Amino acid sequence: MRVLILFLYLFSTAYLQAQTKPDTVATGEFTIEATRIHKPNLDQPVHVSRIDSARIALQKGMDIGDVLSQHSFLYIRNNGPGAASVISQRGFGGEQTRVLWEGMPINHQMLGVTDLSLLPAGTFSEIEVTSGSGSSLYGSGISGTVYLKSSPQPDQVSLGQSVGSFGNYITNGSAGISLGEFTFNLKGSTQNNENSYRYYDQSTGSVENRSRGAFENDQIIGGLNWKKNNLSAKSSLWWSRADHEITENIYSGPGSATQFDESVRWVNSMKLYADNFVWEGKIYLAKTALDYFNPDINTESKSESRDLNAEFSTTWFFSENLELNGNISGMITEVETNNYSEIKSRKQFSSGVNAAIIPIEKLKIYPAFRLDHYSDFGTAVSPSIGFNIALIEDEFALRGSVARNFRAPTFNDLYWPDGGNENLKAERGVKSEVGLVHEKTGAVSFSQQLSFFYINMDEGIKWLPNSSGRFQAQNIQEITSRGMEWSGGISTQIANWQFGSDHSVAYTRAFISEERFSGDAAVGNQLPYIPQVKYSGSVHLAFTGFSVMFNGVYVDERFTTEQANEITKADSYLVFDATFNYSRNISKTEISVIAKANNLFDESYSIVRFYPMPLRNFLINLTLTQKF
Amino acid sequence: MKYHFLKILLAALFIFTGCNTQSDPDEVTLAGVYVLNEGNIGQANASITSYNPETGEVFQNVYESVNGVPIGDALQSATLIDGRLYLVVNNSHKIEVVEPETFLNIGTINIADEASPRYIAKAGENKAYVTNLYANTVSIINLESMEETGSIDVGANPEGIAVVGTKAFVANSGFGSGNTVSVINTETDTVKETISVGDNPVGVQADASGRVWVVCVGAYDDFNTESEDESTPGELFVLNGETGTEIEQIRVGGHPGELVLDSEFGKGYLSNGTVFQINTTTYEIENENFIRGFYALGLSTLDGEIFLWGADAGNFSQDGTAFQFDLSGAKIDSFSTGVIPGHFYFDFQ
Repeated sequence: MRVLILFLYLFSTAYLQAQTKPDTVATGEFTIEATRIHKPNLDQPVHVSRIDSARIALQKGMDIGDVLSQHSFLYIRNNGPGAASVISQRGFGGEQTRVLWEGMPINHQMLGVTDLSLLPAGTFSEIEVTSGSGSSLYGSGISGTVYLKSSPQPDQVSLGQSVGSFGNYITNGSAGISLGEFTFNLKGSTQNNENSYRYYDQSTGSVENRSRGAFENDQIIGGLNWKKNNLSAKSSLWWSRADHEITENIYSGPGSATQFDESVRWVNSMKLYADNFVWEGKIYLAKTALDYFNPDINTESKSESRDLNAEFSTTWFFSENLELNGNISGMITEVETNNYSEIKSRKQFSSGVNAAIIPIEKLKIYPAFRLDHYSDFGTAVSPSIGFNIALIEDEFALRGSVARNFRAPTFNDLYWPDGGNENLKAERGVKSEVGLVHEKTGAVSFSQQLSFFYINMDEGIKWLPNSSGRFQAQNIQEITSRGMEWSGGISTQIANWQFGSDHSVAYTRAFISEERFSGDAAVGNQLPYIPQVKYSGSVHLAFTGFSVMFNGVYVDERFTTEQANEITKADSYLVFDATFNYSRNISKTEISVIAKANNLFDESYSIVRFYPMPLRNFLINLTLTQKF
Repeated sequence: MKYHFLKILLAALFIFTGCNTQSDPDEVTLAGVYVLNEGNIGQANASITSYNPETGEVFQNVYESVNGVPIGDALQSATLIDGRLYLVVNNSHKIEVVEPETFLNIGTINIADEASPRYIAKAGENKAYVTNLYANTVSIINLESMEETGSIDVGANPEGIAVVGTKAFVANSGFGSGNTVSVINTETDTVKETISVGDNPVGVQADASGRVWVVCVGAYDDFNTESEDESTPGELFVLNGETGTEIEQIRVGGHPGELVLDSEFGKGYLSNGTVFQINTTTYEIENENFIRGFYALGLSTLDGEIFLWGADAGNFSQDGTAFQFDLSGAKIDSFSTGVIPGHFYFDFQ
């Protein structure tokens, strides 16, 4: 049975691709924001993946990390459901990947990473993943950008309830109202998960239940939009809190540590469209609290970081052949924690300019330049240039970019009392990529992107023993990462039947390219927890209210130490999920039932070695939506 | 491989390699020098390296190769008691009991309440004590049933333990803030007295003449405050094992690590940045730079020859290296270990 389903899964893709006939011309249906080049994907200079609201809506009970793992080429390092979940992009870690909400950075100021387990998928309406043109657009970040959007769904009220295996309960609701020039929307969810999931315990050779790992996660996100004539304003407020038990590996017992996270983020923007200009001002306020407590060692780490960010930008549509964008921003960050002897603060001033130039038909050039000045470690200059050549107009393009990027040291890198180093510089990297993009719509629509990339980062920050033997953050690491990414999708409709299939594959070879100390055995080895090959794909079939989707994720073996030791390799895994959806409209009321079967074939696997993932589990969701 | 069909598909696009190699237990060749590799806390990548000094043959990951499962998370120490080898796995809160000749597992002693066991010492007939770093206790172990039968409250965060006669000496580190040694009467399983020593006592060794050597690492500066440096220098306290009275106090400075004792030539070797050579009769530091410093030290006796061993943990995230020295400090050999080689164990039987 299992082999049969696998066969059908792969065969369906092959079948759909065989139906592809390039007989119609496609145009981009949406513009990309993550690259700050507000043009369709076909005109972009870099690889962009977009996960739309329809796809996210099916991911009930999942966090953003799960969605990215299933629908992008990103590898998500995850200690288990509800446990820390961090992005790896193009061989680099969560510190080097910028995560943005409505254009504002949400990476943790002390740690540098964004814990994706704190971000339920349903909170957001759309995700864009891009290698970006680097720091010239959004500042600190070496490998790329994940851009989260929360767009309103006006004129409807929705209420849903999910019940899942192992004590997982999620209640979610939303409301959106349009009143003349105003649109108001509110969305919220509360999740309570006992998370006592079944797993295969390698240490005992039997199926066990996780005894810790329970978590609660509450989210409320609201927005108010106003638009009149050539003026618009938007205000979005996002509150979240999460209470987690922290799971340990299966060899170290259940543990007793807990973590509490709470954040409030508020972004306000105003846009004025005037002649050939668009003026935009943004103010962002954020407060993020984290409280880690481990009673075993009587250790508590409490912190609160506060951000104030003001940004002003203008876009000048000079002609059909030239578009200029200039922006300046200032950001103040404060971190107050019992780990530091005093409140630490950072002031950041940034200014940048980026352009879209069309010197000749079919050629687009995207130069960009940004200067960031940080009060604590100095100045970073980040130029980039990208190009896009239409080989077949509105269908097929060659593209590429070169960018010099940086990554600011985290507060812990600078100020952690035992080993923080206030003399750190920013990590620096040069990224280049070249690729092809092909899109076509018609009876059969498809798109695919192929990119080759090369990134070299020096001054990489690593905590290593210094000359006196104490661990200290040091600018000591040079990393080279090169590889290839392919993503493609296809869809068609025959009568009332809809077929869709999306796939992405990433090959990444990432390694330390220079000795950090005498006898450094890590040189040339694949970095720990960076799979060389990662694949994700889905096949989707819909018929008058019914739909079914199969997802598959394959992750290659990973080394778990710098030594690239064969003995401690983490095994590869291939996991399938299935989602069934039935929706029916009765007058203006939509009834939707979603049933999910995760880990369909009961695969015993771990993303992080000895942190087992759940065996087969289920979730069912009922959502009622009343439209006005 | 398991997903061969998919790999073939992917191989059309990529050069694809990789298979999971497992050691064949039949190929395990044990020898007299063992390095206990702690591994990274939380990653359960502890291992044991076996080295044959005569042939130079090295075998990695001995325990998993023999028993088919990893040993656990943070291998702390190994002690031979009555013909059985007890491997204390700190962050797995357990002690694996193995045959010393084969490393074949013959039982597991679980330590309750995630107490974080560190060291084990024989404390009587069929009885052993185990220090518990988190629980501030010493567990009482029935060696025959391989069960924890009780516990004794001691000072904060106990580390090293040594038994002389009916007295067990337990170093109460206090995670740097302790300065006492608890003395347990092994016949009554009660704390008989508490002796003041230097700051942050961690290591405890008993020598052949019944003296107890306590390595006091010294307090570290409180990095959370910007007040004056509160660190204190390392010291060695030498106690009379019978009476518990202080014999000598040796100020060594720095923050010392492991101490090994050579009873035959009356020398002690202390890791303290470099390796100090100490005269255990006169209590004088004879050489502050005997050999370079190491993360772990060991001393072996084979056929009347004594060797000093040092293990370098490198950057703590890749394999380490172990070195063999003669008593002139000359290097004889070296070999690769697992991640964070933390202790040596010798068995030349």
